[in-house]
Amino acid sequence: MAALAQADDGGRLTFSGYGTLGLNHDDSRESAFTRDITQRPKDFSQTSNSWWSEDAWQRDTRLGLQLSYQLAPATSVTSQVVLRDQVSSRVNHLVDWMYLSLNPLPEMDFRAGRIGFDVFLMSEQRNVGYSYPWLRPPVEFYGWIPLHSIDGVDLAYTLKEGKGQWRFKLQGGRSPGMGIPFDKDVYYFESDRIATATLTRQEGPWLLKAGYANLSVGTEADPLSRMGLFSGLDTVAAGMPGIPQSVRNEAADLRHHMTWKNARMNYFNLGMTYDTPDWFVQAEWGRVSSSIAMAINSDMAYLGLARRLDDWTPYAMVSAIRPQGDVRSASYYWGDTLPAAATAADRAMLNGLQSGAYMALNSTRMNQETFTLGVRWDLTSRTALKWQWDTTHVRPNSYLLRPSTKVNQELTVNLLSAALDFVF
Amino acid sequence: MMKTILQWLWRATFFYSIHMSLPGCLQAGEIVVIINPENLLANLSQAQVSDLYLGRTRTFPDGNYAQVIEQTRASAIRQRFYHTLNGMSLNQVNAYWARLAFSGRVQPPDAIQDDQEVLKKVTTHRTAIGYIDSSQLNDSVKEVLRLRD
Repeated sequence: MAALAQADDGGRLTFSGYGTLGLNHDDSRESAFTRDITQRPKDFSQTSNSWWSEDAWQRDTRLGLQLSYQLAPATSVTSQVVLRDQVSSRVNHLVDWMYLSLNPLPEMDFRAGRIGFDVFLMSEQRNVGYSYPWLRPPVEFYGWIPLHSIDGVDLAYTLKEGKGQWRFKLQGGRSPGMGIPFDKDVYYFESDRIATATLTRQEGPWLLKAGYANLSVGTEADPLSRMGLFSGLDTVAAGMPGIPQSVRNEAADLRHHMTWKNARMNYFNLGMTYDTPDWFVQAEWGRVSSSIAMAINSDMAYLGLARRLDDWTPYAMVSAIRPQGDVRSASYYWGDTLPAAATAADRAMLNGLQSGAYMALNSTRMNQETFTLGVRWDLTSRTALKWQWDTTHVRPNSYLLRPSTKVNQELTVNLLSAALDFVF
Repeated sequence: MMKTILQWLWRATFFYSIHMSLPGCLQAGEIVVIINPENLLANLSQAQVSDLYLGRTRTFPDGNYAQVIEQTRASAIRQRFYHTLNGMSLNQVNAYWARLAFSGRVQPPDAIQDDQEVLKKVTTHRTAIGYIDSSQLNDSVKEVLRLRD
């Protein structure tokens, strides 16, 4: 942290930053580790003899740069740029925050501009490895949340009560979202309307947080369109010669459940942190439900325990995510319903469209759990070294977090990671 | 038997004398929280000072903005300050502030070189609050809290 310039009363320009240098080794040849769904999985169909994969340095490595200018005791502007491994090449996705902050009253915070999406305990600190004991936020919880920032406003009110304080916060706006790899393509997920509300209680070492978010998806999943799924399903739903009504209805239903534009998503979340000189405990439970099946419908939770022993902090964590609905599958082949006169090619085309649609619909399912052991070593007052072992059990038909060649089978994978976290 | 009693007596005397000399040692090691003499506050509680230094409040109890002055990040006095103030270790405080600073919630307080610099800043700024070793205390500032081990 460096104060670059400072007038006696008022104007203060501060440049600061944080970062992580990470290294991973994954023992799985048939699946790929990604820290979150904005990263393109390595090509695991190519077997490699190297102990280190080509992406070993990329997954956890990141650099955040923050510039803050305090215009007056109650007014400041802040901007943060984060360089990290993500599939998006848009400059827009490098800027996590850029906002004007005002305190009309000492207990009131108002921000306008690009602000952090703040519903979960770690929403705003996901990239700041130095600020938490574990090497990364639990993938089952934080690995898929497609929002970092909101372009809009937020208002927080803090009320002292007893030995602690309440904090109530509202956010509203739209979200620049992020790029999500879809096979070789990219889906640029955005939200055109998002609202959040959180209530936090802080007292002594305890922090309890309840959060809610409601958003409307602003962009269509163009990769599905480019695959021809939308036009194919639309054609079938509109009616082709000889196609029965039941198939038309099924096609229309599938099309509806993969129409991302204007889909609604709801997040609900409860979290707690217990932070003392000896212990750091964090637990969180969340539920997300969506108006369409292909968007996320899941329950997720984690519990992390860390013991502080001077400069060493050994820790353990369990985290899990479960889908709410069953795997969707066809009960009969569309091709079989065609009249006897139909060609084999027509039947095959129809069956291909049907299976492709179900595959796409299920591709966002997540059903896995991870057990984590690790240790943090505070090397200096600005750096920490971490070593972590994760063992992840991926259940059948769990796709999004652990892309794999064996989608219908269970998979147990081990991940070894080391990281150097720093702040300046 | 006699030897054991003598040993016990010797140890008791030894520990007693150490114990008696401790307050003297601690006196030099006490930390005082200071504000500008023009600030009308008479004293602050440990919880109030802790809230200010953890960014949980921006104001003194009377509602006026406080300019919080920190000592150097890895300094011994900063370690003693948090240890006696709220039991936090420096590793814990530093990780805590990394979360606040980079989530854009609050900017960390200014860090200043040593007790003399803190004294100078608090003397010249009406809204400032700082902490120094009690041996450095003088009339140019007002003591509002004394922290003992």
